Amino acid sequence: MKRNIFILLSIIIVLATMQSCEDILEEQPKTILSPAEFFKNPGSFESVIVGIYSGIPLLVPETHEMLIDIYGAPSSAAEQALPIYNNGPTPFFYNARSAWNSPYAIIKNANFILAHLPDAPLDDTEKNQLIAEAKFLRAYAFFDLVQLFGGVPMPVQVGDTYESLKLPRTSQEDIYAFILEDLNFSEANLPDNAVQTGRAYKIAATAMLARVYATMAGNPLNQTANYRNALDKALEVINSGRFSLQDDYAEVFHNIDYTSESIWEKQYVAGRGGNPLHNLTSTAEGYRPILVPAASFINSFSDGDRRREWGIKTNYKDPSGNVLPPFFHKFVDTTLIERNIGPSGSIIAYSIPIIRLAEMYLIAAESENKLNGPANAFQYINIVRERARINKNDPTHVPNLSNLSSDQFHEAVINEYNWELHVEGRGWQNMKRFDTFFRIQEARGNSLSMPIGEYNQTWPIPIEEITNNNIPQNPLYQ
Amino acid sequence: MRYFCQIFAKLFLHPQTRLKGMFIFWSCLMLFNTAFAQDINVSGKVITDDEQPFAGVTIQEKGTTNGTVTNLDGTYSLNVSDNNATLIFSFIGYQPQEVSLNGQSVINVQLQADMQQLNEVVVVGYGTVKKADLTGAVATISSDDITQVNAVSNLAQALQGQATGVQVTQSSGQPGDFMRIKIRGTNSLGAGNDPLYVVDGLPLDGLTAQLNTNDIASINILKDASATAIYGSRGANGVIMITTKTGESGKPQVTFNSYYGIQNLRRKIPLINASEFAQLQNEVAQNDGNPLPWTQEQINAFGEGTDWQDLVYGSAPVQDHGLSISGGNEYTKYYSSFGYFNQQGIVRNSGFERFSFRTNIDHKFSEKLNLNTSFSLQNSDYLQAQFKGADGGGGIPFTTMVMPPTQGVYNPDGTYTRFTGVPWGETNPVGLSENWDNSNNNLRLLGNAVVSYQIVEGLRLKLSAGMDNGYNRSDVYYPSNISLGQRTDANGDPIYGVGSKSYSNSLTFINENTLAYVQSFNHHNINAVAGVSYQTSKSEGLNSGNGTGFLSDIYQNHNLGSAITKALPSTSYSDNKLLSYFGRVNYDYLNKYYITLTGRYDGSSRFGATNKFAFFPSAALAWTVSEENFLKNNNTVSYLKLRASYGTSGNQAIGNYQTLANLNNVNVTLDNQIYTGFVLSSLENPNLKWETTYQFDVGFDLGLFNEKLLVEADFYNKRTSDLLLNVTLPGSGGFGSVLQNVGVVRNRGLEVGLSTQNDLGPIHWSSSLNISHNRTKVLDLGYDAYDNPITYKEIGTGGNWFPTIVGQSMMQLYGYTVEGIYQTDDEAIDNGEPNKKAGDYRFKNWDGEGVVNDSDDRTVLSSLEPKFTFGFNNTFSYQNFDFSLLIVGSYGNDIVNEFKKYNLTQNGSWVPSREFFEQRWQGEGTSNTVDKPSSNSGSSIRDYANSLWLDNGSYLRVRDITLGYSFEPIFFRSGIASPVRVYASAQNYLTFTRYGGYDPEVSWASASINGWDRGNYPSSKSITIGFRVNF
Repeated sequence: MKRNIFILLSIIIVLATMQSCEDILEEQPKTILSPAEFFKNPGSFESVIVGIYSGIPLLVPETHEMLIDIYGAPSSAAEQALPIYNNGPTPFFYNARSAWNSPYAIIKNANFILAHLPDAPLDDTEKNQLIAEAKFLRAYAFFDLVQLFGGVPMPVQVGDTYESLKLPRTSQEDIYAFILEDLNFSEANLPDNAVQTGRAYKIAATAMLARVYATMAGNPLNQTANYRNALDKALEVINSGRFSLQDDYAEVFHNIDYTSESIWEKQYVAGRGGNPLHNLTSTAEGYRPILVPAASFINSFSDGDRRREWGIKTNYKDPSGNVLPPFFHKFVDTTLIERNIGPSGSIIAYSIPIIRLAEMYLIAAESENKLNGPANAFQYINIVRERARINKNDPTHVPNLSNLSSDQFHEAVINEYNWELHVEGRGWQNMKRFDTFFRIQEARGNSLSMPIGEYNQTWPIPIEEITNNNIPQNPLYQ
Repeated sequence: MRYFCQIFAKLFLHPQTRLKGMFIFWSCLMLFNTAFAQDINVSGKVITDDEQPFAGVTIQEKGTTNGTVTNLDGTYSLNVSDNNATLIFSFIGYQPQEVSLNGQSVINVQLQADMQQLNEVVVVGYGTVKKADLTGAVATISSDDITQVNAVSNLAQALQGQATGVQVTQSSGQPGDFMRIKIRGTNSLGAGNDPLYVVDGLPLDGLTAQLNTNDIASINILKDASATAIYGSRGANGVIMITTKTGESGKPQVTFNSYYGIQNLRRKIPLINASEFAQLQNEVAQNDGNPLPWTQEQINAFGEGTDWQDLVYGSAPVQDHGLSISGGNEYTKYYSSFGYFNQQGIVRNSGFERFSFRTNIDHKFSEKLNLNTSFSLQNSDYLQAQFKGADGGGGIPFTTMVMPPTQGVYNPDGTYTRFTGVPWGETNPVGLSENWDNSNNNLRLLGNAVVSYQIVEGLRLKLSAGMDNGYNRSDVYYPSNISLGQRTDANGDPIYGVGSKSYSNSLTFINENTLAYVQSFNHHNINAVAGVSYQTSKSEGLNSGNGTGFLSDIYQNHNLGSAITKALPSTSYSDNKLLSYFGRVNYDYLNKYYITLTGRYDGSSRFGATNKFAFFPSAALAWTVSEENFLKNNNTVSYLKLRASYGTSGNQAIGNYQTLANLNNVNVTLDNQIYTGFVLSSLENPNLKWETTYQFDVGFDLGLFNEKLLVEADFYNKRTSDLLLNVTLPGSGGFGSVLQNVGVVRNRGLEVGLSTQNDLGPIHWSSSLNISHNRTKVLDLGYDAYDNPITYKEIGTGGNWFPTIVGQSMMQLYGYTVEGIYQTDDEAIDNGEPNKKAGDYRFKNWDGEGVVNDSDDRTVLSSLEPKFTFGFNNTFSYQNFDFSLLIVGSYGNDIVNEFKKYNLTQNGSWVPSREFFEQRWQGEGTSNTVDKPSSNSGSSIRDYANSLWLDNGSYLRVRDITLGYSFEPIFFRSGIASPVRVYASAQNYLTFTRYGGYDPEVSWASASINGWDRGNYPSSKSITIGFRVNF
């Protein structure tokens, strides 16, 4: 009996000790890597840089485009679109979340690799190129945020605890300073040519600087001295000899590759698609477009403007013979409409321009006019206008501008931005720096649920940020 | 005999069943089995305990299948083979009696009402206990109750209405789909709310439709902390203990049971016809200032148009056949079964088919050494209709409801028409249901072996090893003739067909070793168990990804290599481990005073490095008051026990690897190709720990009038803290959300169960009624960066429609209140909705100022919690007839009928329901319920949660009615078989509810949200006939 108990106890103890080794509870996943494991491979650093590109382009159509005067009312069936169109965005709408979280994801990914790159087993040139690339993308994201929201939290490293992720708002001046710092480093250290199409390179940073300086020169910072920098950077891009305007405006779009005027684009894979803008702009049956042209915008083009004739389809008939409401053609594949392919079956691989040469000409025109008056600025705007002619030999088609006062010229530049760059994701930011929100009031008048006001200068910060980080909210639209 | 086989085949077999041959084979085999001499006649009378003649009592010669039943006057007559035979007299609700003949030929018997509920053995974690000795809250469901309702694929569904504190809702009407089962409310926001299933001692994750309910001997549901603490980290949501059947010594018992039935759509929702729809489109055009699309002649010519519900929902057969053989001798007992179940869905190309085999063998080597093994195999095919994704993806139920009756099924060129009212899906419900293939095959193997050895008297060592092995295959193919199969290649040219295939397998191995000690001395009784458990699980998978564009639909998904756009395959792997030490002591004195102490020290690989282990203790006290002298001989109160328990249990139902910093790969397009990049997707979270539930339970068991009326009542208060919550991080940190231990939730409830045994003359009636009430309240959601308490959070699927708010239930509908319709434009301006016009919905301006749009105008609209849920089960027997009636229901809850937003909309793009069409606004004073027909109709009530989505969700449903008749068939020679029982039953034929959707038993996306109807696969009603025969 005693012996039995002894044997039994031995068995139990053996079994218990066999299993009590707590190390077996340590997780050893085979599908995910910890940072320590990950960075053992020298190629890993570049793959994290590549990963950052999963966050581009920063283009939320309701936020970046819809709330400006050139658009008509979106489909009422498009979720939350109509209230925003009517100037009633709220902190709990999806667009607030997307516009806020997407750039911060880029910033987090950039900060993460920037913390690890100094220790990378790479030579200094390569290391600096990768640092420059991460900083370029971080600057792109901060620039987007500061335009949409004003001063925002400015994380410069990934917090090591979740508590440390919570940061107060930094002033927009400081954020712009930080953007310039990043972009200047990028411009100095990025390679002349992108390692892969779609990645950053030296002149893309120069072009981005031109855009940032022009923005800083306008509303709300009004640091007009920056027109000088904007002009210099834009001209540097124009005079680099690397880019030229496409002959035909239509050739700028419906491509999957870069064109001669592409500076930086978001590409897609043919056959797999991913470009959302076809679904967001097509007015064919079954679609719920968010961005459609207002009648006043359609009528504002000069005669013979390819951007109107090709860019906006006004009498397009679907296969059943119905005339579709006018739609922007830039990203719409009409062969799908002909084949009756609706939004759920559309696969669009057209690349989306993030920066292209025409914008550099317009920045040059705008800055030159602000610095020295229009005299020397006409050349820059007219080159864009001439390209837009249906008949290049007919000077009455999109006639050259001349004899305008500086203010008139500025007005012309604003219109030219809209005619040239609509739907490409710069609409709202340009309206903000030109401070032309009143144009919405003029265009939409009584249909607005809230009149245009001071709150239009920024977008509401998403409610999740306010409740979890307790930073002050932007003025609400009420 | 040939005649008999033919009758079987003709009566009960659907022509399509593949079992026909097998069926006849078995039937004939069974007949061969039976030929005995029956010489000696025995007769007599059976009376009840109040000396009434007892009809319908089963009398069986022990060790044989020979038997009969008593007549109306209680008399019987039976031929037996041997004058020393033993007769067994039995009847449900009465104690069976065994009487040896000892040469007598007249045997009269008085049967005593059974106190079975007190004597029955209840299975608890790592042991069993007599119901009378139980200290915790445990519900028991018998095998008869489990198989009471036919046309049920899933075990969980069989539990509906059968026990207190157990709420079962269908996730959809799709056969084989999983069920939502909640025991005592909703504990968890982020981790799972499913209970743990333990089959014959083997703990299983996720039991769906893979168990044959005919194999189940009993189910015990552990509810309070005293009962669940032994399962520690997996006990907080309750534990469902399933015990399968074992053999009994004696001659082999062969049981065959079979049913066949037809199911139909339970309720059709009245929609408008084609003429009315065309009329509506004209009104929309007129109100929008557009030219009218139809002339009056055209409108009249439309007539009824297409009735999509009739085309999509049809009759579907359901059948179940089971054969089991059991028996054994003093040393070896066996139970072996085969089951076949086939339930087709009321939507074409949907259904569930299951083959199941089970063998349980118990062998006694000696008094000291026993071996118990069980092995089962389930092969199921789950054919899923496209119904998920609610209003997204063109799901069949959604499109069926909204597709205009003016559209036909086919275009003139023979292709399917498409629903274009919304931008997603663009499917044709008939085309999709006829042509889409999505089948899942699952093979699940469960095996368990237990060796037990009695070391000394009262001390027993048990060593067990168990295995749960699952293999899954999933096939998906969208053919060329439906819109989802029509794609575009790299050049923008059309290509057809989308297919994918995936395989996965999972393996869980469990080793559990326990030592049990039972001892009694001087009225002190001790029953103790201690043990150690180790469990390791891993799963791996391979998914082909979608290949697009095939030369022919014949390939389906079987030749993905030939796809024009290649598939991107992916693989997966994950594992986790549990290591635990546990123990329990039951002690009682004089069978009056009971105490139970339980504890489990549990370690899980899923938690942070510093919190792998946690201890879950519990204690319970019980006092059998009726054993005290002052109650001992009381005529009214025959039994009374008071119980109280307190303890903890945990929840670890989260994904693996959640505490580790993690770099995820992402696809990035550069150079027009896909490259692999990496992003940091989560931070290290070493402090993550268990969700812990502290539960207090107090209750009593009361037996009145010699146990003819039994009452069980429990009050509980559960407090779950350290909730595993996916906490939304400030977006500025760049991370979306993280699993953290945040917040406290309380569940408080009352459960009352009543069961009665009644004799109404020759009719015996037993009934059980259970009522459960539960209230969930969020007590705390943690603190923000500035140490202010967080009172509002959006979590998971709830989003901003169903936020979590301190002081409220888990997730509730939160949004605008719709007060009616603006009758004039000025009303809208006055109320702060300047955009709206006469005929638009009027939202309540709660703060009375500014516009209706600010956050202050959204409020909690409904907690969605029922005041109580109930089940009422009745069985009647009269002579050879038996009748049962199961009623289930819920009272006092709202359902979010989100689908109503489509039923309400009068925009001419899709079909409104007839009810709301008739209430549309047609000018000042015409309606205050439904807005004006226009292309904008309903746009303000579709995107934001609002009070119009709420429907009264109370219902009372006759879940099942069964009428059975038992007889000795003429083609059996007397005594060969026990009586054959034939029966007919109806499920879901009667439901009393004001709910406007397809069915008030709704559960969609989230276990935490009660009743959220987004246009689900509708439920069905069915009529079945069946029989059961024992040899």
